[in-house]
Amino acid sequence: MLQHEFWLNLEYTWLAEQIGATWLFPLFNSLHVLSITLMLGSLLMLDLRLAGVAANVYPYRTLSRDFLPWVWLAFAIAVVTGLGLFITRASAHVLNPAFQWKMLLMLAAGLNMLLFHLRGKRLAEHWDRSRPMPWSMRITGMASLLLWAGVMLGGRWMGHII
Amino acid sequence: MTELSIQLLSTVPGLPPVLQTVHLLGLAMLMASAVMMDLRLLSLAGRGQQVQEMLQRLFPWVFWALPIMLVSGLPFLLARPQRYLNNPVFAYKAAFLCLALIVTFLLWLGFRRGVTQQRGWPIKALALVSLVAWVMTAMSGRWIAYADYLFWPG
Repeated sequence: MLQHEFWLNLEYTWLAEQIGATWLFPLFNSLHVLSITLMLGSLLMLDLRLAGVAANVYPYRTLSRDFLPWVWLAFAIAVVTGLGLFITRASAHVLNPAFQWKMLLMLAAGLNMLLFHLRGKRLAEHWDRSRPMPWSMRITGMASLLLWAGVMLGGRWMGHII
Repeated sequence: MTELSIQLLSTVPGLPPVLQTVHLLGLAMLMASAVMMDLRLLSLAGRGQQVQEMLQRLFPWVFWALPIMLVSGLPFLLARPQRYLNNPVFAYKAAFLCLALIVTFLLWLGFRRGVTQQRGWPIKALALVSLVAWVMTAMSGRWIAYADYLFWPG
């Protein structure tokens, strides 16, 4: 599946050729990095609150109401620019172990988020005010940090393998 | 120092991407904290939180990120000084960084004196300059590798 010519065909689409041959590539790359740092930094604030390390004066929901929209906005920009970069060298990227790790870790981070939501529904309604946080929430916060740091490492390592 | 940096970066397996990731994680700490403070001062984000309390909480992250950025970035500069010092984009990065540091320091002074509480126009202006300066520092950092797109090698 990873050897399929579909990935090669992506590289010959009009859009991929436009991005790859012009200053759009560095522009997308820098916007990708910028949005990722903003996304991870905002997520860091939320995850550290979950872990009980920072901003304990606020209920988790006060912080998530403030920060989560920025996390999602930055994530959306990172996905769009990331896809733009990906299609310029799709067939090489899908075979790149660093890229494969990055995707797996991102999937794991998504599953962790899903577990977080399911767990949040089952806890008492005001769990987000409790100090200390329930253990399940502390673990999910720390896991999110580690997984996303791993995603970043995988993304950065990709460029060293090609 | 140059020899040591070249030695480390070329012999320790995986050191360049790991150091660059540390640089990026430091950037995430710094950017999100600085940008969130700036957006809060401009009333664009974090309205559920008190200004002074938020600044007190986030300033240390900016200040702690700076030595991390320096330690993880300096080996690359030392290993290939001519790649950076002859690069006009690196000059832009240095200039934006200086501006960002100065403005952040001024905001910190304002915070210490309680001026940030009222958020008058000078504070808002500083917050806007800080926001632009940090974003441009990060952007020009990435563009160092792409200087050829901007300045045709002659």
